[in-house]
Amino acid sequence: MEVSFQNLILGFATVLTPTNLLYALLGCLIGTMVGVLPGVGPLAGISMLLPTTFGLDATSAIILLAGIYYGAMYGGSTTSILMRIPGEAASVMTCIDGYAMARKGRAGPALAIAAIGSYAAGTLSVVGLMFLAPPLARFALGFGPPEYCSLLVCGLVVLSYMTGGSIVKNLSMITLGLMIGIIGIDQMSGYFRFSYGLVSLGDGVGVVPVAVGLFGISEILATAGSPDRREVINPRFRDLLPSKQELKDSIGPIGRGTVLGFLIGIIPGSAHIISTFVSYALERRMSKHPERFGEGAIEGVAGPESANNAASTGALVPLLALGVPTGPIPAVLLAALIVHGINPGPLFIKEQPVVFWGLIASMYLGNLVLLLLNLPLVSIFVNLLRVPYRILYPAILMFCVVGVYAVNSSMVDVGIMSVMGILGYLLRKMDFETAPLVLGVVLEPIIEYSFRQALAMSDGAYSIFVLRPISAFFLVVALVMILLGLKPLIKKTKDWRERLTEAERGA
Amino acid sequence: MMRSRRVLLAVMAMMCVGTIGLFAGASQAADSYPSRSIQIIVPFPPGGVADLVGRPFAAALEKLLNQPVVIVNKTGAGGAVGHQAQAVAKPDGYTLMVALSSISFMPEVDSMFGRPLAYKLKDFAPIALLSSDPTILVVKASSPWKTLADFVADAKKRPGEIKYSSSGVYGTLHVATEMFAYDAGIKLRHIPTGGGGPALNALLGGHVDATAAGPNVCIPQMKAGAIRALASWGDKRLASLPNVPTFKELGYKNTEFYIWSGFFAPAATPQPILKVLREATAKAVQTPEFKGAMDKMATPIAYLDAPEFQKFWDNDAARSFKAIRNIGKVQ
Amino acid sequence: MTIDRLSGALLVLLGVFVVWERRVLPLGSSQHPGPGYAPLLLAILLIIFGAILIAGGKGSPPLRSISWPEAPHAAAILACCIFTTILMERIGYRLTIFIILGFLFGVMERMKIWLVFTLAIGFSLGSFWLFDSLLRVPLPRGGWNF
Repeated sequence: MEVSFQNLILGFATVLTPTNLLYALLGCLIGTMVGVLPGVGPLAGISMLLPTTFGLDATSAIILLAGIYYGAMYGGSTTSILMRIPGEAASVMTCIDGYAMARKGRAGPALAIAAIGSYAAGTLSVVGLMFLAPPLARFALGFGPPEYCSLLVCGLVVLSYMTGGSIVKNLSMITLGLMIGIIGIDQMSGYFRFSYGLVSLGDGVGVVPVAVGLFGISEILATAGSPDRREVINPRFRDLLPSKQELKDSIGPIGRGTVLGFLIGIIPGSAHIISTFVSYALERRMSKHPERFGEGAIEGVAGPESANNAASTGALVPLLALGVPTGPIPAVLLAALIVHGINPGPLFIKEQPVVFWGLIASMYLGNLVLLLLNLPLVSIFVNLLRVPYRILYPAILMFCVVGVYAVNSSMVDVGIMSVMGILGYLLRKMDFETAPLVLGVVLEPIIEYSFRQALAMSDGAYSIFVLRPISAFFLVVALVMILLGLKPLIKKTKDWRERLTEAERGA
Repeated sequence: MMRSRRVLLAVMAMMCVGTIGLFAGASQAADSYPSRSIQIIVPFPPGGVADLVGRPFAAALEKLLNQPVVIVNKTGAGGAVGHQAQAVAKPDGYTLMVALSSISFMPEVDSMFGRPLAYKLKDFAPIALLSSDPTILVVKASSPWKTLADFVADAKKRPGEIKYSSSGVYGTLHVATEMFAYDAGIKLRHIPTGGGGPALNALLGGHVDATAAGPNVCIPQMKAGAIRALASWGDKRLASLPNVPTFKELGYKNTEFYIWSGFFAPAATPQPILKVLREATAKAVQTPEFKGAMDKMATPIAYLDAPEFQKFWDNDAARSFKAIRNIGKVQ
Repeated sequence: MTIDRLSGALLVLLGVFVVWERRVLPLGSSQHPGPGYAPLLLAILLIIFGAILIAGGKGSPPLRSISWPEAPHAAAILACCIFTTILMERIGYRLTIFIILGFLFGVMERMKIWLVFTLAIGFSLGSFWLFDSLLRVPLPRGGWNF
């Protein structure tokens, strides 16, 4: 594919007709709305609107539906920052520092930096999509089970930097999360594991009910009756936007988050969830002040928010270049194309230049529109925090219930949310971190099945992990990182982690 | 004092409402059916075959019945969650379902594992068959097998070494492929994945040697020269792939499999309501909107009314049961 | 009893429970791990971590140091969660939300009656309209279709 000036002009000429422009705007608006509302993710938004697009031509339809997709990624952080309700797995990490910032009266900058980071990541990833789609897509397909497994091992090493506190406590939380992740039908053999006759647990415990319970419900349990309820903060206008220092601090995380998210996003499968976790861990590791993380560090919002946006665009690479969907949402977009008579395959870009370049151009415009739409929304959302907490927390409870129920119309999920709420509340009391637990629930199925699939492919030979180049590469990276982590032990210098614990003790 | 009285009142109110809730649910008159919005359960996530057929179908029904028809994706456990929800739904015609061939598998698998059945096939009253597509056996274009005969000969030489990916253990593609493997007397190595999409991705990425897929997914990849079709599970050759032979004509008489989608109601639904639904369905499949949508998806409409659908379903389920019994418990 | 010792003991108990419950799942071999392989592995890890917490938990703060000032509110919210889980599909979304909001506003927060009703009715009907009617995400309607 040549990225010629001509193609881009073709794209912009397609988008800049009044009707297509209108559909791009409409898509972004609906996307923001379904993104902000917990439970109604892009998946529900797109499939809901799909039948109404039957009358449109294919280009307008895909511009509209893609707008919902990347628009939803902008809104996803709102409830995480304001109420600590992660609307989807991708905004779990935003809950930690975003909500901490909100409690300090910095909700405005947190929301603004999420929008700015999303804009930068969205736009840069479209550039990546435009120039690199076909070669990257072929690379992405090379990711089979062994590569996946090695990537996750490598990721786990990075993730050990994710949270502070006691290492043993964090490891036991990850293990507990992995154990909860086991619940459900074993994908390799069909056995029900730990589901006690509940068919609804067949696909396992969902990430959304677990995360909403552990973060959202446990927060209102702990705050509603406590004497130091949050004060009403009167936001002044200059408190709505990030300060110069905060902007400067965010440039690095946004850049790294974008690259990381885009690369992880193009890999088929559900690994893109981990891009936010890895981005957070990476920023914490690189920061000169890791102790600020968890207490409202803006880097902890900027990095993961950029990563999830870049990952969502990255996921379009294999879809558009090869016609292979890599997750549930690209699958719906593929379905949308098919319904409109376009069956994307490897020849899609060549055969349908108008659709492809129109989509690219609409994404440039759409991201800009979303930024302009989301920045003014910040002041509206921040004002929600002026509502007295005694009115707010029952409303938060209602949003948790409807958000969890709406994902899969399942009361069992609401039950899981309640149980996780109690668990999260008790864990807080006992000084355990809950983020590693969520991570464990997310990772268990991916890591276990990729490991067992790889062994099924090689008929039990472990050599498959080192004989395949990409897989071997990740294992070497993991090894190097472990060795670097051991260095302080050998050289008897103090690890940052120990320095941190000491600083905390002194404080 | 004031406070405790309020608590008492609130608790009493909750209990009252709860009790009424448990016993509520009086039946509704059938002659006014439908008098409110109808839910159609789709037991698979958006973007799957059931969802793609279900949404335009719901849109067509909505106009004919003059009531909103809403799709609810109740996913999980390979469709079992949605199937079970439909099996226990109130048989009043307001909760219906569009399901795929895999609806027949789960009771058989459950009984094989000695588990209580999540639902029985008798829990459903079939209304109509909507579509039916044979799956196709595909290999990479760069593979040495030009015909099915090459494939079978090689598989006989190296039993258990040729790998194929499926949509999941006891899923449609697993059952279909093992049906063929049993018929041909060969042994293949099974790599289950998380769905039809990932199964095809595993083939395209070169992680497995073969897979099965529906025609609308295969055709663009075949056009681009990425994969080659060896045979189809259909009764006769597909109009869209006239050069691909069927397993039947190649001598595998017992290898026949379709990914079909059907429209179901709970078994105890009164006949008058079923009649309304059957008539509406017969009209809905004729509407230009539904025809157009299915045309674009390259999925032919294969409408069968309830009695013929029941016959079709019985035959299909019998074939699948046999295949599942032959697979046995996977270790 | 310290916090760490109690939590360590709970983790060990959970690990032992999983080891016991796993016995029906085939273990497989390290070449071909079966469905019972990962649970056993994780249970053993959990028992190890729990044991470390017990062993090193002498110096951690005692259990009594945890204060529970918010416990009444927490119990009320939990009761609402359980109420919702059990009854929402039977009595419908709007009624459930109306009841739990009425309970929290009226009984827990002791607001004025008219405000309780306005907020509870407004929130329950408003959210239902937004999700169910406008966005067509079906929410439960109880036995009498409300």
